[in-house]
Amino acid sequence: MRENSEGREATAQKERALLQAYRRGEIRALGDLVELYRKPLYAFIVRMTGSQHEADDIFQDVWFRAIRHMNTYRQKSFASWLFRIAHNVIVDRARHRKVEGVVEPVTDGDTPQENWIEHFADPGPGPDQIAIGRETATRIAAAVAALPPEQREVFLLRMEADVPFKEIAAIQNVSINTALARMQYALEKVRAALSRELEVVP
Amino acid sequence: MKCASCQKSLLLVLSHEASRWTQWRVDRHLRSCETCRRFREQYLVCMQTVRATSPEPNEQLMQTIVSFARRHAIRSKSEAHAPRSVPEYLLFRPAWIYGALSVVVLVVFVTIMSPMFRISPTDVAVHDTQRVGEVATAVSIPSVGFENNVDEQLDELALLLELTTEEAILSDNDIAITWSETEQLAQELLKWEDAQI
Repeated sequence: MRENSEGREATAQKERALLQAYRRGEIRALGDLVELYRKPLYAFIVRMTGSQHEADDIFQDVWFRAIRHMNTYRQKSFASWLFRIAHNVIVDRARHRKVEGVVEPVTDGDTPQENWIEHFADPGPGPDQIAIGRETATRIAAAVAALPPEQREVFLLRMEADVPFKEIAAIQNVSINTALARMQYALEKVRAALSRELEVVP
Repeated sequence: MKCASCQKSLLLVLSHEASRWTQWRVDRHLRSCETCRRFREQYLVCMQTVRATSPEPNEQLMQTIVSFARRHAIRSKSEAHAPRSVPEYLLFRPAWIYGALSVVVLVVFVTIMSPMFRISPTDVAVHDTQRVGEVATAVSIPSVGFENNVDEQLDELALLLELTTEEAILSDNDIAITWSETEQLAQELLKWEDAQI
């Protein structure tokens, strides 16, 4: 998605332009905006819930809410706003199910967890890309699913959506140090699960 | 800089949120620390791996969202251009009922409670000095004609004084005399009586 601060600023400018165009009545601009966050938002929701079926509902709900309130959107970062909505929807659904915190994903063999792994994105050929197979996807999914909800959320917001720690802390309503500590714990566990893949690092 | 601290700062550096000073310190530490260099590389590979295995929504879901956006935009536009015969601020609001009820309750309360707040003529001085003067003149002690029948004149004055007091009690604001005035009058009467004796 975005790899550096210049890229982040460029994306922010693009977002602003698309939002202005949408407010002027250009529906196509919203399509582009949805496209921009299609993958990171969906991946975040799937990995938070562990179910593709539920993730479809939540993804749709998040965008519906965002579209309804698009005219009142005044925040600096669209990504933070969007992921905060996603966070709230996930937490609301978890509360409705009388579950404390965020929904724990199901990790059995033939569960929805497996369902999306079958359709994980193809990274495509590239000289600097590592070869990633289904086994790796399964291991990552299991490692991420095994994380406590707060750590998982920080990890996914950072890794999937490139949300800065300052904004992650605001989404979770914690200090930036807490967000960093959660990321460190999460990384430690995921690194352990991906030890084989990480061994290729010289 | 210790490795734990460096790795925490490194997370900020990698998300482009670190200050120049922090970045400089991290770079300096990385030059001499193999563990932290490895941490950085593993972080980047981890990110790449996670992103490469990200699930994606299907096209149908995307179409649903875009068509919702289209419907929403059309609805918003038609609402914005819909003619309004009555200005918005004149439209009925439930708050109006609450406001009217509050006024009614306040009026009833004041009506019920008002006798309790009426001013007692025995406690409050009357400020109508003109009327005080008039009454005082009306009941002023006559200095002539009392020598012959003191007791009779005294009774007459006492009656006058009593009447004045009664009037003052009966019609509080209309009569301009108070207990202090009455007492003053009585004292003058007693002085006059002493002088006569």
